[in-house]
Amino acid sequence: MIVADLSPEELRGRLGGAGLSLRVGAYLFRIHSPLEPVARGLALMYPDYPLAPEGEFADFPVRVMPGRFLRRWLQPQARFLANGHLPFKPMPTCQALPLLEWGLNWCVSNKVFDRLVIHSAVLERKGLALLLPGSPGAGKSTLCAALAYSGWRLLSDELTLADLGVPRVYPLPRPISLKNRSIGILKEYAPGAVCSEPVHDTSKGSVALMRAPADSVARALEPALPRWVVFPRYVAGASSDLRPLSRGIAFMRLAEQGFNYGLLGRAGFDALSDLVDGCDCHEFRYSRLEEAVALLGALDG
Amino acid sequence: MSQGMAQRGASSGPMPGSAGVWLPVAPEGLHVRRWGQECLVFHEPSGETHLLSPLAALLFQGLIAGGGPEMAMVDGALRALDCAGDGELEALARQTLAHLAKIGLARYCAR
Amino acid sequence: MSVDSLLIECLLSPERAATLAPAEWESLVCQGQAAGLLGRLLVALESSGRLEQVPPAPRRHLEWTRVVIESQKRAVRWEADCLRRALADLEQPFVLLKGAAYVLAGLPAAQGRLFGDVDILVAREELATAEALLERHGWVGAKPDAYDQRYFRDWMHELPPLRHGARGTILDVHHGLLPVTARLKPDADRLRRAARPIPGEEGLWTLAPVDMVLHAACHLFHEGEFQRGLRDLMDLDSLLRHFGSEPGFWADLIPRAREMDLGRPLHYALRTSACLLATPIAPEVLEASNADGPPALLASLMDQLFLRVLGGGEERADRAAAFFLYLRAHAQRMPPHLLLPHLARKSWRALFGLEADSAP
Repeated sequence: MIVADLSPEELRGRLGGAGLSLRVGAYLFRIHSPLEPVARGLALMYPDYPLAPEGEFADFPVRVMPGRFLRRWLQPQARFLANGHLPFKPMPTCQALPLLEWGLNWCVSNKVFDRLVIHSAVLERKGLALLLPGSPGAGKSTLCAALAYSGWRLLSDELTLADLGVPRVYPLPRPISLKNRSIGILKEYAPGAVCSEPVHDTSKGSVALMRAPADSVARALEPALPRWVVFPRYVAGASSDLRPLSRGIAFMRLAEQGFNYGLLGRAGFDALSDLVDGCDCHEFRYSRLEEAVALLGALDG
Repeated sequence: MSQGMAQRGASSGPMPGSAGVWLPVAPEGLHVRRWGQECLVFHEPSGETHLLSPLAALLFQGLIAGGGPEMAMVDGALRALDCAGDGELEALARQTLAHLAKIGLARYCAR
Repeated sequence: MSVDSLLIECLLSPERAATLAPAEWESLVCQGQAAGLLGRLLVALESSGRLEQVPPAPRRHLEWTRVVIESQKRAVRWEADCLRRALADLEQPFVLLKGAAYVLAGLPAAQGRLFGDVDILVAREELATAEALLERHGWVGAKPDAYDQRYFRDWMHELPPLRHGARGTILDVHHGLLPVTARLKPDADRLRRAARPIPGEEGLWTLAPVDMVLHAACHLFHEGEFQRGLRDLMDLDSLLRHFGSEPGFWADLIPRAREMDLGRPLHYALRTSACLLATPIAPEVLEASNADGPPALLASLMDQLFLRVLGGGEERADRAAAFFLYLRAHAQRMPPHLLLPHLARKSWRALFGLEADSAP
């Protein structure tokens, strides 16, 4: 059974009742929320995701709840709760969907310790994975969305989950989070993709979500072999420039983007060195998406 | 994590004199990866990862080989770089040794 | 059955876990996480040979916890190593307290335990020297707020928490056991004089066994942090079980508590631990400790409150009880005229979200 099999009433019934148990990659999220933007957003962004039967063990039971007391009426707010813990400040109710997305990322990046979790987009082609790590604003999500709609399979736009024993990365396919100008750019680039209504004035500016391609959701348990690490940087008006980067520097920059690199100790060091060992590493400056997609598509296997 | 240690941070901390010997630290806590000239060291007790500069990598190699008096360590590294007798580089090498000690990758034993 | 009693039940009788349904496992894991006791559960299951019987999904969470705990232990060891080097010039050795002491001394209380800050005790007269040495080695004051600085310096038994600039670790430097203004006046110098070097760890010291128990008891019922109450009680239980077999331990405990003006906290600690965690304490010890207890009426009220709060749960009544204990803990630490401004400050901060993490 998948989310799209539920009627709008059934969906809202679950969200307000026992919870909506979504399987995303190797994890089970159970979402509770009485908020309409959450119900609408889930129906739009997660139609193809498998539902787990009631009573199954959920890895991450989470809630997106209205603000408390007077807050509820003065300026309606949404709060994200993971096991009673509030990792973020409450946000206006209209931002509940991006809040939920950040919250789900928070769960994985703070709780999963049998994988090296790197802040990086990751896509696959012919079994080989391309990592696009990057600081916020570097343009990794934009590039990731364009590639996901140009023949690459999306594993994740935000979190790369690397095995600690063998060179392998695991999918966590979820909607791609687009910010500010890239919303319009991607709508033009991939007119067939389903996007949520942008919400404005979040801490990251305007945010819209783009649905993960159905194929990527269907193959959510299929790992890939890391082959390329590309650090993207969007520079308006610049021509595309793909330059080799030494493995040592690439290692240090990836480690910096590792949520649990330090915590894993030696296991993290070994996993990341193995990963880097098997990859060609590059720095990539780009501005035009078509050109960028063509260049990355021509990388040698 | 630290990167290019020879370029920064090396000036702080006490500078041991040249009378003593430099010794390696317990090897079981050190894990090394090399890619060409690059040398990456994971120091398990502190959990720190260091990308050594070429000079630091040479000195570190000398330490792993058993260490020795400061003068000999510095000379060895400079010869390997084909820069024997370069005063500026020599000073940098001494600072680098002190920095390696500060981050737990070397021990200094005054005699 | 109150929610958290499932956690306590499984901690005490791991065989119970083998009978749980998936949904029960989910609440058990959630309770364990919230109480910071998932690691203890892992250890309990493992040492009773039941870990294999845990279904894969909850098992994965237990293994994640193992990674966190191992990592924290490594970090604590390194921190102790750095402290040993930084404070080598002190005339009187510093003493490791709480979690760091359990790890370095290899006590069972460290097994499966999560750590936050590292705590040390230094001689009051060497406090300024210690602070200067730590500063020289990269520790800096973590709370810039001037009010907090004054609060800590004037009224507390510890410095404002220090943060290491490079490692980001937090260090609490204690110079006493209880706030300067507290009604009870345990003498920290006596503790330091009885401290013992840790075998094989040059330059590192712990409190003597009885004092370690007294400090844990003191921490449990005198500090305002009851969210971690059950975890602290587990520490105490583990210390009592471990040291209880050492000759002379029980005979020394109560006299030492009275000598240190800590008879009352020890009384609460023993009662609660025996009652909630079935800690093996001889009846004559409990009886002797009763002499340090409060008058009968108050005693039964306090018993109920402690059991309710430490037993956890998210019910409103529990939170009210926790708040009462929080007030009480503060009342014991400071004269009343100081109490209000500090509490007012705290709730003001909570109200405006100053303590919550910022948006991602």
